[in-house]
Amino acid sequence: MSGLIGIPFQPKRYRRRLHRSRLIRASGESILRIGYLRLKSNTMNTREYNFWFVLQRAEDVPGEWTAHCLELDVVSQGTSLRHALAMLNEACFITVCDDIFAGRDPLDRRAPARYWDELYKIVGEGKKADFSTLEESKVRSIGRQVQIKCLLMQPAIRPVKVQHRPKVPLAWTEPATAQACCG
Amino acid sequence: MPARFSNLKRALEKLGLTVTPPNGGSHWRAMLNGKTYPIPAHHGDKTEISEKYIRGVCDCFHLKLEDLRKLL
Repeated sequence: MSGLIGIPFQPKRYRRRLHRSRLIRASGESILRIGYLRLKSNTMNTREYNFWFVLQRAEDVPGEWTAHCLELDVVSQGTSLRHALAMLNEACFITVCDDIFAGRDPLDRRAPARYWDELYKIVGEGKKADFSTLEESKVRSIGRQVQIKCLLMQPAIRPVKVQHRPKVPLAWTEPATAQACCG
Repeated sequence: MPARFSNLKRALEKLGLTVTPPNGGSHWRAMLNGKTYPIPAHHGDKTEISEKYIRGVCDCFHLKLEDLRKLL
């Protein structure tokens, strides 16, 4: 059976060429590496992360909004509320991908307590609102929960051929030894 | 105090971080010891990076804010 998802059985030579071309495109960056892993994989799992985002009008840069993901402690910014949200989504995706590929838990980086206090203040004192209908001119800071789903494609585990070469023989074949063992 | 992206990039490189260009998006990557922190640069080198972001970088890589400020 072919190891490629969604690609029917192909002659062996063609398959090899296809693998090589995709490999060249995957030039070491994490997002592309997902594509590369998808090609050779046959196992997958999904990870879901719930993140709290705090979006605020940047006080020092006019016209900009800052967005802070508290679980990852990643900050990004954009020219509008929606742009800042999109930028932070991208930043979170980069961070989660890089951490997973480096073998780290993305949730190990947590924002300091003072940023969480800001969120508790917004959630405690603010009003519940629909994000799609929010008007930028009327708000200063927003707390929002976002769920990010990562579909991880893991490479297939191939059986590795191991040649056992024991230094001490496991069985004695010479008649003299066999006699000694039996006797 | 905000800083220009080009200045921030130069300062981070002087502090020993590796800054790599984006791969399709608008975030550069600052890396140190395998840890990544994305830098928003939606207006290219002229992007004004807010104070909150600069504090975030310092917290992430355990840099002193004053050291980074001197280099900006």
